Amino acid sequence: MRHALGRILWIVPSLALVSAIAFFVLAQAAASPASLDADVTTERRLRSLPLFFNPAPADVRILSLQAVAGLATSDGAEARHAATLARLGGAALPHVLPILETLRPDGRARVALALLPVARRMRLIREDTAPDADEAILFWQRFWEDHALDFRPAVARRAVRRAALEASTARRDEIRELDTYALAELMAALGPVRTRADADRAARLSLLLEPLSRACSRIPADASVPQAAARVMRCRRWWAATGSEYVALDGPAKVTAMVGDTRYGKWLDEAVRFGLGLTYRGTPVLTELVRHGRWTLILVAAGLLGGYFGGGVVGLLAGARPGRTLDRLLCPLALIAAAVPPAALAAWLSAPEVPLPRASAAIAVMVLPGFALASRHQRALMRHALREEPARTLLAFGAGPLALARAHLRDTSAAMLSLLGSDLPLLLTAAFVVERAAGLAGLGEFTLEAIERRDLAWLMALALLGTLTVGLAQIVSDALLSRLDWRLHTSFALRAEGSE
Amino acid sequence: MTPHLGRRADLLRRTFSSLRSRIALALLSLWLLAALFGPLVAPWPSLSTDLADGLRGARGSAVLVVLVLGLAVPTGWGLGLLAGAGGRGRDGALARVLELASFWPAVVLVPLLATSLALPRPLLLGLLIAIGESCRIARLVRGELRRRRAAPYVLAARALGASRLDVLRTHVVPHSLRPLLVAAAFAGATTVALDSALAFLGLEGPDPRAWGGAIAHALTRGTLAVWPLLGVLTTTASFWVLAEALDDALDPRPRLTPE
Repeated sequence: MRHALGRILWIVPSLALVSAIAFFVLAQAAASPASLDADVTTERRLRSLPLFFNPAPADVRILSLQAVAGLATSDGAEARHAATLARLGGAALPHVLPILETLRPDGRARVALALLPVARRMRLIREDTAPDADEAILFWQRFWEDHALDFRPAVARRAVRRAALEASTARRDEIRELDTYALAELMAALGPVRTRADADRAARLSLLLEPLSRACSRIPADASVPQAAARVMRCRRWWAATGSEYVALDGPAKVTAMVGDTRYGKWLDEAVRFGLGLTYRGTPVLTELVRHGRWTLILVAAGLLGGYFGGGVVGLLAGARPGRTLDRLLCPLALIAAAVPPAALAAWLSAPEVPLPRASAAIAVMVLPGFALASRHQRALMRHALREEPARTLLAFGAGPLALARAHLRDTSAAMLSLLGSDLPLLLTAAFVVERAAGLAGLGEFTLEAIERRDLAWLMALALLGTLTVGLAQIVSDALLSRLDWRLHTSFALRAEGSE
Repeated sequence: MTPHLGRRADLLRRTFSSLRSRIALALLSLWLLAALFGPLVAPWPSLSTDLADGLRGARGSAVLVVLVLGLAVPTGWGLGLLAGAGGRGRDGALARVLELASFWPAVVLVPLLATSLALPRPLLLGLLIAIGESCRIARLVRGELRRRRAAPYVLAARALGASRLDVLRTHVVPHSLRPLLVAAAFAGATTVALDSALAFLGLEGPDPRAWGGAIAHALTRGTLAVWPLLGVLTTTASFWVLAEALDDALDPRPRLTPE
């Protein structure tokens, strides 16, 4: 029991290790855009991040001050710096405007002009006006004198809370004047969309988010709950990828960002927030696993239960009476079952001429390889058992084949169980093949699509679930093995006493 | 003949004593010869598509089986010995590594790694199948060693004062050959089956060469790829028969049967 518990606890670090290795391998492969629905900025930002550790996570303070320094010194990339300031918007103002006075006049002018698109977005100046440098500097100095106190988290939180409750022009103007400074609060208020009320709230907030990000499109008032949820999901994914660029990171937040603001950290964050992450279709992986996993689960279960257990019993009986009818029948049958390609058999059984439902045909095909493997293996084990001393003693006492089979069920089953865990990946591959051949919409078809689109979230989820399943199966089979096999039991007992 | 060679010859004689195992060896040899020399006797373009696909698939599968067995058998045996003959800590650590490595379905890894690693597809496929098979072999060898370590004759040898290394060398390690050879024969069958399965799913790569791809292609046309089907069927069955023959031959004790 203590051994089994220890093994179960081992699964947690194992999963962490597997997730890191799998992420490394898959991240090398996922070089092309994965998502049908993802925003280009989101994908670009994700790809620009380091894989596992970010020694200098970029927050709004660092990014805006870098842009200001670039503009002030005129380093040749002024257009890029101006675009950065325009993108960071209101969130950059508390870091840029207080130091505007300290810049040299020409640099100050360039920074003030670069911030004009932000002023237009905030509707503080008209679209058709083009102030000169002096006017721009004066405008921003006055703006900061009047509004410095508004750029505080508490003010933004209050404004967003009011806007979420009521969609009036005054509320909208309040948020508009904070621009991207209110993004963190807006995203927090967006929340998950499950009910009609959630969808209405999301629609109200989407009016405020739309000017701030292309990923957050407007949600029509008459949008259904799933439609609203899909748009909110896209917006939240963008925020998960780029959010740290719009907030100032201090103290523990900065330390967390060193791990969190990486590709692995973003995947982990997405996996926790959105049910194992988002697929290339923009839906949660967990939802798709539940939707598509049914057939795969049935097929793998059929392979395990029908194949292994059925085959095990038949193999045991055949092995107990070598050369008799059952044994003679089993040998060619098991060989055929093992050798016939499942794909061809599934396709043939699913053909319209064969009067068998496709699902039944697929299950029958899945049972065959497991049956063949288990029956042959169990038969071989029983044949070995007949050479051991206990079998000779039983035979000397006149035991029949059934008594022999019953007596050796325990130790021959133990060896069979040890194979179960390691056969699961093969069964999964067989299930994918059978699904495709029989035209069943299982995990196989979705996985092949995901591979084609380099869908990192789906493949990561598959690797983790697989590791978890195989790990648990191996623990169960090892625990049963040590219970069923007296020799292993002795070994454990000797270890416990310190004899080994 | 030295005693060592005598034992080998005896093992071969016992393995191929039955008609079935001789037929299995003949079939495997036929496919191998056809794959190697078929194009020399009759160039592929002159053959029917079906037969050409069968021969091309045989060549691909032969290369893959050799690659997988060449990599998986020594690696799996070494890992199994290290885990099964080592102390508790090493056994536990290696067992965890084997568990971690054993779940990586080739169906997911092959197409993904093909895009990131500049390796030819057969080599990549061979490496991935070899990893899975070496884990399986290592688990079997480890299990056998753990069982043998608790056997009465091992306990008796220890009680008589034999060192741990001597016990391992003379009483435990030789027993690992049986699961190793049997697992190797099964690995041949698994390699052919996996290669066909991946090709059937269209994950074979730009240069189709496996039997599974030909089967899938024929199914889309509503026909049967007879030679590729025969190839998968006969090679898999032959490897199975050989595995069983080896299993019997490596255990020379007489078998009693109930009346």
